[in-house]
Amino acid sequence: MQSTAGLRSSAALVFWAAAVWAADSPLRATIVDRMGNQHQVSKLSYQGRTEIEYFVDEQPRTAQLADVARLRLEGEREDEEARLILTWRNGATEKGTIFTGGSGISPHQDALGSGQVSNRLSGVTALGPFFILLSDVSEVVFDHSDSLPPAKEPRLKATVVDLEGRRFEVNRLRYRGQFRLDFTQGRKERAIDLAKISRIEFTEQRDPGVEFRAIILTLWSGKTLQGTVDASTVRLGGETDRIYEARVGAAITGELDGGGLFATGMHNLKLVRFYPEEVEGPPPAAPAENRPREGDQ
Amino acid sequence: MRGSRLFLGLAGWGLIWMLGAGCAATTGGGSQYLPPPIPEGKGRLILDAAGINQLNFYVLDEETEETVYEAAPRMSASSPGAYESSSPEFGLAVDLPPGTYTVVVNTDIKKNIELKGVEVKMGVEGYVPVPVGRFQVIFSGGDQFGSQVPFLIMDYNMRSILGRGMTSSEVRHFIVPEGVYKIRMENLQAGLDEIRPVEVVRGRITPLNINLGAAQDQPGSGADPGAGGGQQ
Repeated sequence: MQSTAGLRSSAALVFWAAAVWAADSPLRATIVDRMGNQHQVSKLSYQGRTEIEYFVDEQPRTAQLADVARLRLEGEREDEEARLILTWRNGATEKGTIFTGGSGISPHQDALGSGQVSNRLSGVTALGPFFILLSDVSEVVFDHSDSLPPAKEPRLKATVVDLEGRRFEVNRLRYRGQFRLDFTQGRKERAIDLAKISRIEFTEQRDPGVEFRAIILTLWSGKTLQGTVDASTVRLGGETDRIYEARVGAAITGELDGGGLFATGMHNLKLVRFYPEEVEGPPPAAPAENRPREGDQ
Repeated sequence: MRGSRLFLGLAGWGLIWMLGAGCAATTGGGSQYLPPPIPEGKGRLILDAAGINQLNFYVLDEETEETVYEAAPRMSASSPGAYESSSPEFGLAVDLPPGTYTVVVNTDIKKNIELKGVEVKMGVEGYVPVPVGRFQVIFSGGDQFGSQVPFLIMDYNMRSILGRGMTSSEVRHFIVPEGVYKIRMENLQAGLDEIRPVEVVRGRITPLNINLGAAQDQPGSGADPGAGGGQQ
C-alpha cells in the first residue's frame, strides 16, 4: 500500500516537474503516436530542453526544435535507436538516428539505486500535463505560425591552409559536426559560432607531445580572442579505430570546391580564413598586419 | 512571601535577559549565513542544479554578446587532483543588472548546456533550472592499477567520445547533462576492459560500482581480453 502511494506521489512529481520544465518552452506541435492518435501539445520540450540530439554519419548533432518543421521516427518500438527524418523549416530534410531507449533500459546492476532516464516529449494539452515516450511517437508536426522566422543555417566557406602549405577551398565547413568552435581559455571552456569568426590562426608549429594548440581568433567584429583547442593525436585507451579517426582526423569537415569531401585534424592546421557569408568569390584582402605570411600558402 | 517575590522578580529579569540575548545572537549571527541582499539596481540570477553547489558557467549579455560573469571553480574531469570538497560554497548565484542573458553551463563532457533568454529583473531572485546530473565511479579491486584509472565517457551507442574521466580515492562526481552514457575503462596490457552503462538524472547522484575482484570471477565480465566486451 505504501509503495503504491509512493508510486502515485512519484508520478505526481513527474507530472509536476514536466509541467514546470515545459513552462519555459514556447513550442506547439501535433504529436502523432504509433496508434495514429493525435495530440495537440503546447509548451513542448524534450527532456526539459527545446533541442534534440541525433547522429548523422556517426557525428552527434543538435537541432533546435524551433527550427524544425516536422520530425518522423521510423523503426520498431523496442529498438533502442530509431531512424529520424528531420524536415527543417526551410524545406530541407536530413536523415539520422536518435536514441530512444526502446521499451526502457533496465538499470544496470552496478548502478542500482540510480534514477531512470526516459526519453520523452512533454508538454501541456487541453486536458493537463502530457508526456509520451519517444519510442511511442511516430511523427511530430510543429506549429510555428506565431513564432519568429527560423534561424538561418550558416553556409560557411573558408580557405583552409595546412602545415604543409596546402590550400583548400572548403564549403559547408563544420567543427566536429557543429557550427560552433569549442576552445578553452585557461580552465574556462568557451564556444563561439563559426559564423562570427573571420580567421583562425594557429600560432605555433605542431608538437606531437602537446595535446592543445594555441589559436588566435579574429572575429568579423574586429575583436581578437586567444585560446587553445584540443589537437591531441594520442590514442586513448578504449578508443576504436573509427572513433580515433573521427576525433583526430576529422575535426574540420566540409565539401571541397571541386567536389568531394574534406576532413582534417586540428593538429594539421595552419590557418582557416572564412569568406563573408553573403559574398561570393575570393575573400577580401586582409589588413597588412593580418596578411598570411609567405610560408602559409 | 518576600523571598518568593524576589525569586520571581529575579527569574523574570533573567528570562527577559536570556530572551534578549538570544534574539541578539540570532539577529547578529544570521547575517553571515543568509545570502547578502541584492545590490541596488540589480537582480539575482540563481542556477537551480538540484543539489549541485558548484558549476563552471558563464553569462553572456544577449544584446552585446559580452561575457558579464564567469566562474570556473571545478577542475577538469580528467584531472588527477580533482575531488569534491566536503563544504563547498554555493556558487550558483550572481547579481546582474536587469536584462536578458544567455547562461552557458560547462559540464565534464563536450556538451555544454546553453540557456537562452534568461531574464533578470531588478530586485528579484530568479531561479533557472539546469538539466544536469551527477554520477560517481566507485572503483575497487584493481590493486595493480592504483586508485586513479582513466576512463572514457561515451554516448550510449559508443559512436563518439564525449569526455574523459579519472577515478579517485577521493569522492568525486562527474557532472553531465541528463541522459544515458557508457563508461569504458580499458587497459589491455592488464586485461582490463570494462564497459558499463550509466543513467544520469537530475537531482541525484548515480553510483557506478566497478569491482574488478568480483568482475574477474564472472564469465564474460570483460576481464578476459579475448572477450573484449564487458557487461553491457
